[in-house]
Formats: sequence, C-alpha cells, structure tokens
Amino acid sequence: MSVERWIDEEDRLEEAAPDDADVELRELMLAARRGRASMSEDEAADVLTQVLEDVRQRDRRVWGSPGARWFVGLAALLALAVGLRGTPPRPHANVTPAPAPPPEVVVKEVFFESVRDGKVTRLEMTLYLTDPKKEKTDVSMPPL
Amino acid sequence: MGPRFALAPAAASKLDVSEASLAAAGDDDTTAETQLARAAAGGDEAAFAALFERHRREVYKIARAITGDADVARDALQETFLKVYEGLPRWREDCALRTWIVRIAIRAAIDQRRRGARHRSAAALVVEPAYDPRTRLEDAVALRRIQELAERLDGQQALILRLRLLGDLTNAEIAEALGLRPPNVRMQLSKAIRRLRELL
Repeated sequence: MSVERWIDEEDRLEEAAPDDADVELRELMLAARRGRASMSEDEAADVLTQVLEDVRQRDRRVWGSPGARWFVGLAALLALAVGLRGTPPRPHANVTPAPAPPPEVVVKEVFFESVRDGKVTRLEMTLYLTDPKKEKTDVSMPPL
Repeated sequence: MGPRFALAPAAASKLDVSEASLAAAGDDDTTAETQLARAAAGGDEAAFAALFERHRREVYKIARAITGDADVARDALQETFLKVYEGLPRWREDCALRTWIVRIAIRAAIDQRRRGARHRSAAALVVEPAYDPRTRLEDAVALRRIQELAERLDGQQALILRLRLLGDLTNAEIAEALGLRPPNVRMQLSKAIRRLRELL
C-alpha cells in the first residue's frame, strides 16, 4: 500500500500490512502520529485563564486610556460644579417680567421745601404713570 | 450530557464557570455552538470557556503540528483564542465556527513559528500518552524526525503535510483553511511524500 493511500485510509492505519517499499516512511509517520502530545487539563486551564486575563486587561486599558481618563475627569468636574452651584438658573427667556402698574397710578410723590429770607417755598410733585398712547405732548414747552 | 470541561479548581474559581453553560457546551449541534458563540461575543466568559473546551484540543494539535514545539504551540493556542474572543462579535455565521477557528489557529501557529520559535528547544516533549516508556520515546523521536524532514520541504508542502499527518485535518479542510482547491492539496501532499522518500 502506498503512503498516499495509507494516509487517505486513516481508519485502517493499524491494519495496513507493511508489504511495500514505503514501510519505513509509513512506520515513521505512524509513530510520529502516536507521539503527538496533547495538553493537560491544568495547562489548558492556565491558557484559558491567561486569555481571559488578557481580555480583561485590554478592557481596563480602554477605560484607563488617556482619552477615557480625560473624558471621565471632565464629567467629574462638571458634576462637581453643578453640585456646588446648585440648580442652574432658568434661561432668561423663561423669566416672566414683573407686571407694569396700570396707568394713572401714582408712582412717586416728591416734596421740596426751601427757606430763604424768611420766605418758605414749597414744591410738591406727584408722578403718575401715563399711557403713552393717550398722552399729548405739549411741543411748545421745552423738555425739562 | 454532563459537562465535559473540568477546569483546575483555582482557575474554576477565577472564571466562575456555571454548570449550565458547560452543559450547553456538551451539545454537538451547530445551533448550540452558535448560541455559545453569540453569548461569548456578548462577554459571557462561561460561554467562551465552553467554546475553548470544544476546540482547544484540535487547535493545540494543529499548532503543535505546525510549530513542532509544545511551548510554542501553547503560545499559539493562547493567541488563537485571544483572537477568537476579539473576533467573535465580527464572526459571520455563513462560515462554520470550527473552520473560522482553524483558520485563525493556522495563522497564529505560523506567526508564532516565525517569531523566534526556532530559538526554543525543539526537543521539548510533553510526555502524556500512557503506554510503555520505550515505545513512547521512540514515537517522540519519530515525531521529531518527521518535523525535521518537513523543515526541508517547500513551505506550503510542509504545512500541508503537517496539517494532514499531525493536525488530523482532511484534504478538504486543509483546502478550505488555506484557500486552495482540494485537488491542489492532494497533489502537494503527494509531492511532499515523494520528497520525504528521497530524504529518508
């Protein structure tokens, strides 16, 4: 039996009769096949443990990389700033302005008094809020 | 079927391998394997451990055949499963998981071999088979002799011879893993054997 055929008929390796010139090569191959060593269970467990450890280290490297650390640091600073300052103010557009007083309402009363040469001069002014639409400006008078 | 995988106690405690995951690994159908692969791709270490147990012997055998050295084969085994773990999320199910792993194993073993494997002791023999010491020694010497002879063959012929003879892959599997046609594998194997006859 040729070595080629012998290789193709692996199931009959042991039965193959050594009756041709390939005996030496065939026996060498058969012995080499028997001599293949396998890995022990403990060694295999070590390899698996090492693979998983490598994977975990790689994951840690990803989260511990300079870019990731910078991002995490920035997030921590933002959280700290928010914590220290409390709730940020609401946007200005959302602030409701205080209602204006209605027209004709006294806004302020002003009182002046001066004494000169025994004469007393008193000035009293009352400021009202006016409605600009109804107000008529006296253009003949210069502004104060 | 019960769990086939038995981690060393220390390793088992580190890995927290559940009985359920390992029992799932006992099923031989492709669906179970695909489910394991998906779970492992999602970070399930127990599922990955089950995949490792399913394929480690074959991967080690291939790596041992290609590198000819137990320590280098162990490194190749480690490298293979690291790549498998990293590549699982990208694994396309149109290709059988075993074929995909075998391809990775062949590449990893060739890489390890190139990375200074020759500096290590080629005589390192793991003594495991429980048969008579004299026969065991003779077989180990024969294995080493075949490896030495293969070194003198053309690169691809040597690779095919190793995978066929020592890695236990069929011609079709070798063809698929190396991207060749089966007749081409057969022809190269024949040339390798003819060359071996001359070298003996």
